[in-house]
Amino acid sequence: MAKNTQPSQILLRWSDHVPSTDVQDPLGLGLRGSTRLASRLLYCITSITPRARYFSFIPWCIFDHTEREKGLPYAFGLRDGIILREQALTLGSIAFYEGEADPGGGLVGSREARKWYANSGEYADFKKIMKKQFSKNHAVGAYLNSLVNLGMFKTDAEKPDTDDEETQEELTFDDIQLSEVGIELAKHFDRKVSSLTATKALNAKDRTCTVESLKDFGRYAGLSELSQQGADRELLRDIFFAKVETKGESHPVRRLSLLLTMQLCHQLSVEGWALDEPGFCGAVYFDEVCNEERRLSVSIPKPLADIAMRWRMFYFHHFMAVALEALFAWLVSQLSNHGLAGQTVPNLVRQISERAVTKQVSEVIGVQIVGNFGDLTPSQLFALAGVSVQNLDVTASKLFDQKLTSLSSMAEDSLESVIRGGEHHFGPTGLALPMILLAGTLARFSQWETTDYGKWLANVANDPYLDLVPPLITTGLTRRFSDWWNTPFSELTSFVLTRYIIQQHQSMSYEKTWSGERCLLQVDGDKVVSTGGFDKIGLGNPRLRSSFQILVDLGLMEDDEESGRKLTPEGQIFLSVELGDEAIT
Amino acid sequence: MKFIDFSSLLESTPAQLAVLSTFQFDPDYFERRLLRCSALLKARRILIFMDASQWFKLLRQDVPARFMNRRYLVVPVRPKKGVFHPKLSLLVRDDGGHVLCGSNNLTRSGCTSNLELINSFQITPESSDEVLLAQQAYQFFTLVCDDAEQETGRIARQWLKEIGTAFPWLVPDNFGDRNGPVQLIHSYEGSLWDRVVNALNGATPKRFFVISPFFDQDGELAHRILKLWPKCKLEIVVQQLTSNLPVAAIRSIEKSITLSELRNSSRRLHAKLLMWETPKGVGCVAGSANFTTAAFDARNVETCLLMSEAGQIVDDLFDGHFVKRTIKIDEFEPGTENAPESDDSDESSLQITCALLAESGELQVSYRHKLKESPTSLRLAIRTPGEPRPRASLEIPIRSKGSTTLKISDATLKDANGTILASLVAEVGDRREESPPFWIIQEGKLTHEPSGEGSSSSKSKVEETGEGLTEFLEVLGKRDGVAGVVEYLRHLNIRFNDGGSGLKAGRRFRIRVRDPFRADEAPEWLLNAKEDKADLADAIYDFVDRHEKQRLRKHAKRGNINGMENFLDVFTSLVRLLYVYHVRGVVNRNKLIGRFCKYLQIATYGIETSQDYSEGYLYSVYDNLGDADYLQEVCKELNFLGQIRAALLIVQRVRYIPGESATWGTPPSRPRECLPDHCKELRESIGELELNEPPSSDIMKALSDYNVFTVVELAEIEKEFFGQRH
Repeated sequence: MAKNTQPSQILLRWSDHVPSTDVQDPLGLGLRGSTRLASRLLYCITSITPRARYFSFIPWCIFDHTEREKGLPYAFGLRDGIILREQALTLGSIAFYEGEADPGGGLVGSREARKWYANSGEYADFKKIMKKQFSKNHAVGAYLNSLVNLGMFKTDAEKPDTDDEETQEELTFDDIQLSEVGIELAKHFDRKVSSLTATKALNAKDRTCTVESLKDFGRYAGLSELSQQGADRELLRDIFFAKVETKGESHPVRRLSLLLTMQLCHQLSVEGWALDEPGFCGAVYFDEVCNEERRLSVSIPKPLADIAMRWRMFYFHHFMAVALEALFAWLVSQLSNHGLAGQTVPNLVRQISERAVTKQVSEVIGVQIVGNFGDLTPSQLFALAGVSVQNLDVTASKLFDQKLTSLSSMAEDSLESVIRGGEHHFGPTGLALPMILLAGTLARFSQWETTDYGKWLANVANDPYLDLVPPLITTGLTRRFSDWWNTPFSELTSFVLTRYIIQQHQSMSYEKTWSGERCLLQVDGDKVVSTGGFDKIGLGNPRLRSSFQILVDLGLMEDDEESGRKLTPEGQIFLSVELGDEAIT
Repeated sequence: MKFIDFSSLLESTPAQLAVLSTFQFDPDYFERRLLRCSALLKARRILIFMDASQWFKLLRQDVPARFMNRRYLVVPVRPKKGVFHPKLSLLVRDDGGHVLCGSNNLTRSGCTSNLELINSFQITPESSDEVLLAQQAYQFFTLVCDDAEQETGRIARQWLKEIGTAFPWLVPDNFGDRNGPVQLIHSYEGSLWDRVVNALNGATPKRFFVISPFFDQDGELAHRILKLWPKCKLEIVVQQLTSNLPVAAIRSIEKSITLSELRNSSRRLHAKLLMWETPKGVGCVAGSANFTTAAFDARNVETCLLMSEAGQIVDDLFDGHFVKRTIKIDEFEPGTENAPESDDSDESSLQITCALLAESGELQVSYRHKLKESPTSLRLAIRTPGEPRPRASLEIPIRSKGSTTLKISDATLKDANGTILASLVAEVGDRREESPPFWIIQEGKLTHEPSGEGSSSSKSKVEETGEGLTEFLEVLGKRDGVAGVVEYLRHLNIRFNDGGSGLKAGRRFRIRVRDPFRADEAPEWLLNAKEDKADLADAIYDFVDRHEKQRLRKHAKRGNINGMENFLDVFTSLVRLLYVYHVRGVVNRNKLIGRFCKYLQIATYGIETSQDYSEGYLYSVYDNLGDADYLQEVCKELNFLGQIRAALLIVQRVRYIPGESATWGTPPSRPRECLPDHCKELRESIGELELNEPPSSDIMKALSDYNVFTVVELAEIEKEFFGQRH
């Protein structure tokens, strides 16, 4: 119980304040939205685990330490043992590439290791190197959770006589034990490296080897070398494609996501397109990819239709997030012009009814708006693009799919591109465009709202107050306006700014820190004041980028400088076989 | 000068009653920050008085509030004129109290970013000056109840009365002439201006010093001062673009006015202070009152502290952290914000003014509508936050203003353990209009009794020893429903203690797969009508099985005699929980019998079958000790065998079915004939370990300690099991 330790009397003292600190993900749309979705879709592949080789290398580190070092008088603890081997891999890879980093990136500590290599002599003394630490964050830290989830270790549940939080005998990192599949993977890796001089040196008392022998270690253990050879590659494929027995239902989902990626990569590359993140988005969201010159319809094979639709849900959230974060960025930039005086929401929103906004929005959407933008309803605005429906229902939503195809001027990807371009960031049009994007995204989503896919998306929101996803916003708008589709943008904007930007940001700041310091907005009476700037709109899909690299590492996909990203011949066969299996399933 | 974090002032002993007042209120901030402070977190009752027009504004904002009108009561106050603007708090604790009087609203900006002035007084009933302040605050809040919304005002009045009865030192007989160096003044007693003039006591002020964000647009108070005391100087501290000092209106008296600009602050100035200097000394008022006639002439409800001998403390305000610089009037650019005004322009055509849910399930609703056309139907929609559609929709009389009482079925609110929202829905022609939601006042849940979940002692006792678990679940279930009990059981772990080396500090290292997979099911918040999915029986089985595995079997494996007390704690908790919920029809009879038998085996000789294995605790202890005498001594001290035998009697009693027809062997004709194999093995084990059978008095004492049997039942058991025993 707290004791009363305060002075008995405090007279006329200024109040203290909580200073603002750096803000990321200001509305929680990333961590509480897209990250949750992506973790379901690409389970165990995260933005910081892009290299497949680490998934076998780290189990090998544990295996090697356990089998060859543990128990020796000079043995390191397991964590240091892994870090020692990690450093050897980094140096070995740098040595193998004659002082350059691995071409696929993601080699932890490569920048410092390159400096070391540039000044190195003939020998690498790991007792000294360990003191240097190439990276503050080691690969084992980044990959550990994914490795756990992939089943590389014996879990708490598998160990008998476990206990709970406070009373269990303290487990330490040294108690990690590889599971059967973990051992198998480690052994596969070990086949290539166990006999190397560097490997032996790592376990020896003086921990010293020649740089030349490290180069050999890099040749066999390197990250990019996995795609060419490596006894562990096949087993890693089986693991990533959920062909080994694993616990949990998300592994098959990852498998389908990877197959979808391969399928799209193949389909696009055949037509001379290279699969990238926008292309992936276009394929699953609009069923087509396009650029200013041409358009390619994408056909999703039946076994992959379900996963493609889930990715579509991901992008509904993505476009909604871009809209809301753009509103946030616009708001803090506008408020910074007003300093401590701040501004009221009605005054801010009034700006969207200015004539200049109507003109600029007309230019962006390529259709002349009559009257002022603030008075327009979404229904009236989208009628200008051919979605002429009074009621927002399934028909209207389907009409969106027909009329607002990829890169059409009012389509989500076009608006995202304009918003990210930043041209309107400092003017009132910067408020209007995200509102159009938000309204369009929610309207297009409406046909899925009551389907299983809509529920799947809604399921991301654990907290109906804090986790903003499209179904939650449509619910909020409907409750507030009854028929938001026929409500003027000025009213919608006012509510969205108040509830989903200002209130949301303030609430999120307390989710992040106890004191709520990660907050750039203060509300004093009717005035809103900003205490900083923000311009990082939208988090994108970083896990997808990792999955591209994993597929490359697994030798199923390749990035060709001339022809772009495509499947390797082996990848094509693999895809065909796996799709066949899926069709049978 | 040291700055004061407002929230830190609320880190103290939990309040019996915390009464706070504010013009604007931010429930999200309050719940996330202030409600987590120790004085409020475990407070028995919390009242928030706030301005009624700001309250209705709040209702329109879809503000996230999870505990409003459930953990704390918001009382909207509509003064006869002006606004309700005080920022006064009174916290009453067992050991005294706490009075806070400042300029800050209970909003995020008021407590974390604005530049506010704070005053705080810790009170012990013996300190007469401070007690006077608490009494004045108490009296103020009592008066506020008269301006409060009817039902919430009734509750507030009742709570204040009760606290006054419980803590008589709060209630003044008569203030008389008692005045301390610091007095609480408020506008229910008359105008603050008059109090200032009285405080001057006939002396002519040489100088007034003003800090305020808001001023009358005609500069009335400045003019008034200079009219009364023409030679007086007036210094006003302003902040560019925020203070709304009317430059034009004070132009005619500018020779007597010094404007000081607050220089080095990136924070909005919201502090309010009026200081005067006379040949006799320096006094001031500081609190909620802006330098406006609305504040000083008692149009608004305000609270301030009137202080004498204030010269030094006011000087200290500008001791270096903040610098003021004299500027010319022309150099000042005023802000555009207006002083708080009463806003009766209610935007809502439909409005719930109060919704009060009594423990009986009756919902009393007050409402009004200003629809141009008379609606064809008027209904009250009830939902929880996040539900897109109401879980109940109840017809109410079509009146422009009225009150009605509705009966809410148990099923409607069965799983609504948090905030419940009500809104008014009108059908007007083919249109449907809905009012802003209102947080239903759940009167029965507003008071946190020490024995409830709010009591850390009972909760920690359960976690420590399991003692009082069923009683605790009782309280929890009453308040949070079955779902609350299920949730609690799923997370409850009775401590394991075998007298070993104790707990190790530091973060536990875990290897646990976390699969994010979710089936395509609508989340709870999206479901239209919720079903009660909380399976209490499953939660109980899960809880007891977890404890069997992680506590009882672990003890049995280790066999540490120092863990016997903890073993018994867990053992008896499981036995009692299963039995109590079996009697209530939740726990299946066969599942109870199976588990009891296993517990008895684990407690004594262990389990060894083709499917299961566990050491027996008594045997393990015996093996470790090799000293039957010592084991006997400890068993006697803790009545270990009495407890074990008592559990066997309970399960025999449950097992017995009068008139049972057996498919094999002879059916038992009385309870003590049930489970003969277990009886035999237990008896043999006790003998093998060279222990003495417990006397019937020990067994009966253990049975009585379970506190689940009536006196009659205990007598029956005694007769049945011991009547012919010896």
